[in-house]
Amino acid sequence: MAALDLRTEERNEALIIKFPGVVDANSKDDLEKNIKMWQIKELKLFVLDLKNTVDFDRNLYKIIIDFKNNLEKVGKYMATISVSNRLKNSITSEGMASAFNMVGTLGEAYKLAGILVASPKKIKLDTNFINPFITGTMTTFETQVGLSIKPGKPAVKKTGEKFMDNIALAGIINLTCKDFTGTISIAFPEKVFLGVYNTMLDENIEVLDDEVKDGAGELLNIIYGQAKQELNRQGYQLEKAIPTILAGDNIQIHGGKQSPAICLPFESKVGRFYLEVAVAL
Amino acid sequence: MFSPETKVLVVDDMMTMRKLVSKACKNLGLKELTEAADGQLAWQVLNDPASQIQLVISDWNMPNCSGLELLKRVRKDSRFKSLPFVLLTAESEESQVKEAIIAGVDNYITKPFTAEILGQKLEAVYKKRSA
Repeated sequence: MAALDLRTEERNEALIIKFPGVVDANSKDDLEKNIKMWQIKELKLFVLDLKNTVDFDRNLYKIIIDFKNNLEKVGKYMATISVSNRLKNSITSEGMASAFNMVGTLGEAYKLAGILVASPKKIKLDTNFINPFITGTMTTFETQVGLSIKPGKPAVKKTGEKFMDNIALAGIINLTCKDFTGTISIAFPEKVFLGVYNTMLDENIEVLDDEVKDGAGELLNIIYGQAKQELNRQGYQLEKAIPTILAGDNIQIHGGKQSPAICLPFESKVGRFYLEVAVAL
Repeated sequence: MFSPETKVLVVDDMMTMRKLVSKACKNLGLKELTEAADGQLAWQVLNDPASQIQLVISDWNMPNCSGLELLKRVRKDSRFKSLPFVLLTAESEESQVKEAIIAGVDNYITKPFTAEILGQKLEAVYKKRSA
């Protein structure tokens, strides 16, 4: 039996379960095991997100019906969202439309369960928003790299304005949450990144090859994880993200075409690097 | 603590992180290290009778087969039911930790980490498995 690659998230008294592309007969045991775990959660609503699902074995429909029925017995709710037309037709043709309780959006699912969702958090590029990125960067460099760094004075960078010099390597993450989008980037001149990398790994690398470059992405990944934890505690609902790497001569990071960016320089014994946070306001 | 001869499988899609984990393991005296770049490749290593892996340290987010999926496969297979398995990740949300515990993880490390932190976590796993 194959393991089912489900991604779950608890939010606003609900469990949102993102299903993979294919849910076939081999997933039966895993699906049943997961449902048993979900049923003991003290949550009101269980949302099956089928956005990425192209195939859901009809022999598993009964498991979903039983899940929904068991939830209803104890005053809980189940709904399915983002179902493709093809899958919707398949489910409907089996007479399972009401069993799957297909609704349009997550908001409609919340409404069904009588869950009131707090109004969107207004994003403000102030110290409360920026400090987690500064702290995350310092913690990451102290702990993972073994390098003390000192934050410099943040600057507001207007769109198209050149602020960083000689950037050879940058990692970029797209910030996504229901209230805003943006980017967080970390940018290094070549010598500075080689200094960071060699300090972190006790090596003496002199060339930025592809495997070395991915180190920038990994550092940004860790910084983002740290900042995200704090920002989500403040009420933002930032999602997981994968960094992209840019490398070349004199790269310019152009965060947020419609918005300014906060550029945070950091000083270290191997030189200066930058963190940039841009948000579409 | 795990003996220096313990055969460790380090799984991460980022080479830098594989090197960091391996470096930390070596600092802790663990010398028998094998690396895999994703969960699918790790599964192939585990299935190779010659590998004799005795401890897995795996990243969570990886293409092809995530660390969680690898853990679930490992726990489903009677050959590896008791294989010590530690997950390493940049995320530390409660729901994710719970998911890992339910799936049968022995311990969970949030990045950033030091060799000392890794050592403490592995010590706890060793004590639990030795009891």
